[in-house]
Amino acid sequence: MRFVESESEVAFRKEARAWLEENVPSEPRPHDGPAAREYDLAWQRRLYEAGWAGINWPAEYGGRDLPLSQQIIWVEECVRANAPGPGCLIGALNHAGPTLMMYGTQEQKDRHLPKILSGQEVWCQGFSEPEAGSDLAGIRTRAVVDGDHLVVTGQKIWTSYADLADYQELLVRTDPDAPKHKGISWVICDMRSPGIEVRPIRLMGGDNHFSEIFYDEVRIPLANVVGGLNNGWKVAMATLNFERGTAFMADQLKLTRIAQELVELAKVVPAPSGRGKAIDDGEIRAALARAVIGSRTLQSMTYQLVSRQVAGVPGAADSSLLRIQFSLVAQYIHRLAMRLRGADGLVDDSELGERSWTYNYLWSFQTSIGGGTREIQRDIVGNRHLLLPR
Amino acid sequence: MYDLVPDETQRAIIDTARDVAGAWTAGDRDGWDAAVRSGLLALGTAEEHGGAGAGACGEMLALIELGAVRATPAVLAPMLAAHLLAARPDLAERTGLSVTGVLTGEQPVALADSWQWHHDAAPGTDWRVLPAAGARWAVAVSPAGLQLLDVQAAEAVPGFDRDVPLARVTGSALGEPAGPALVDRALTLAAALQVGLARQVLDVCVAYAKARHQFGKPIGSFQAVKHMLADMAVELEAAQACTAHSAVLIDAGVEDGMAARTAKVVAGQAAVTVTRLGIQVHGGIGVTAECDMHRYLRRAHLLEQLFGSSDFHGEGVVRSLAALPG
Repeated sequence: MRFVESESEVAFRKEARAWLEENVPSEPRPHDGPAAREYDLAWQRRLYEAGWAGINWPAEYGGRDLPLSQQIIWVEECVRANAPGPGCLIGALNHAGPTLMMYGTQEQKDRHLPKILSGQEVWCQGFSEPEAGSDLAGIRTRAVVDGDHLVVTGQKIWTSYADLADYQELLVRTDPDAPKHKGISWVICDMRSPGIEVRPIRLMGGDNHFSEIFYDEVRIPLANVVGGLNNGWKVAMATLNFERGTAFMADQLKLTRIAQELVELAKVVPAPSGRGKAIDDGEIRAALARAVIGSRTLQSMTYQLVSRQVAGVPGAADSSLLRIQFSLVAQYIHRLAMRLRGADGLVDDSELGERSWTYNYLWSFQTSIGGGTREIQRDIVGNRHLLLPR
Repeated sequence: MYDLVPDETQRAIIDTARDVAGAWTAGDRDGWDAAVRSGLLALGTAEEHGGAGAGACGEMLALIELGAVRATPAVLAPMLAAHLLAARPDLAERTGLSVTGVLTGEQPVALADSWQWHHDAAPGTDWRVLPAAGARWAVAVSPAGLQLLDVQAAEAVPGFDRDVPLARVTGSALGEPAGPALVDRALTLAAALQVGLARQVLDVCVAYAKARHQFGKPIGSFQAVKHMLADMAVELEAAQACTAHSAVLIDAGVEDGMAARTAKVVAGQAAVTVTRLGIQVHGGIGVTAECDMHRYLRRAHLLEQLFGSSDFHGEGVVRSLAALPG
């Protein structure tokens, strides 16, 4: 238990800060569509060319092979500089890539990893189905072996960025007779294959973040199976672990910045009570305190989670504990922003992209649903962390 | 890079503190003896002053264990007095107190909490004290810093927390208050007691929810109860993380002006919330005098007021971020 920043960490932070100050694009990221894809790929290429891509990826796959601590510093500096996140590349960079490194064949790695890192390939994740959300092992999308191909028929839902993706991490049932965890395979699906239909789901904020995907006898080469036929559950658990690691860290740290922006906002906007500035109102200051301190809890909890991972003593439900707190704090902060902005909040400012207050307010509702509802997360905490009876 | 997991030495501190905590369950006398004998009180004192040099982290980890058994918060007095005397040798000369004297209990010191956390009282005139037997001096904690208080008139008042005797005293404080680093330390150590309390209440509640059956099932299997316990676990996790975060920053000599206040706010709310929910988890037995939950609740309220409430420090955090005066 200690805080130390080594000389190399200090130097790395300085270098990152200086580069970001020069290079962060001033135009906001578009919410969705081809423009969002172009924006994300362009940013990733810029990072790649300057040597900032794959900070903790192994050198053999084109990464810099730096320790997790430097990856964390990078995320901290990106948040500080208001730099774009990975956007639609999050799947490729944060879990498809690492999963291929762990379980992919040499050919699969050679084909995909360099393109992922250099911002040429977008990946989405085909795990959830209408009848298999929280109960993932219940997937029904089936794949039948036909010669050297799998023939896939079924449906996926809640797939982020499916409309923008080139490839998909697809989970299919390859042995319907095996026990439910044993008949699953993890395959690389080319999203341009005949028989795939992507129907975007328009969210209440107006953007098409998620899609439904229908598969009608889609042919996928058997060579695209990752980690062996019927061994997909194990591979999927590795994927989810990568996803639950530090993937959300930027979102968590970003709330610290937004909470501070609210304090600044309160100095200039009128108090909701109509008397004086918002900051002069004791009740508003108490609400700001809750927002600021809430965002700080996320920071501390993230460092605690990462410390446990590094020390090899992860808790059984660390990511669920953090996810619950994250959703509570995120929703509180964005609700408070609406309160402070008063009638200004009635003006749609979604042209500000990811910096839009109204869009972010509506977005905050999905933080207690996506990635497992808050209720499922509470079940996980109760069952796995507190070991309560089921 | 933050490392918020105890290392080997720190795990040994936790083990020692658990032994002391065990002794404390037999009563204050046994607890104090074990605390002195084991060197627990001197954990955070620098080696040059005869301590173990385990820093704020060591003290914090030990106090979590003591908080869990509801050891008296007066245990903070010798620790804080030792830090104050080490920082201000002139005070040692003026009072005759020494670092060793306070840490061995040969020179008992009480813990005084300023009314200024609550009102705009004139500095150094009105204090609330957790007495130590025969103590002439108290270490006094106010927003301005730490001081030594020459205890003059004392009037015992009945405590809401019946396990901790309280007195209202007048006295004169010596010298300028030492802060703000020592205030951060005091807040972080109080937060550790709150974390320990919350952890213990959660443990007790989880055990009860597994053992108590209704409708032929343990009540912990019902989602309404399970989710309440999960929320308590989230509160505890946040409190623990913020308290550890503050302690490592103190040891690294980084003053960010936020971490200690955040820890006190988050741990304070966690202790009160977890205890309140804990009474609900216990159902009927939870509101009886026979059940210990009310004792945890009373302690949670005492700690919440000690060294400034969550409201007080929340206000402070916002004022400093907004650059508003005091």
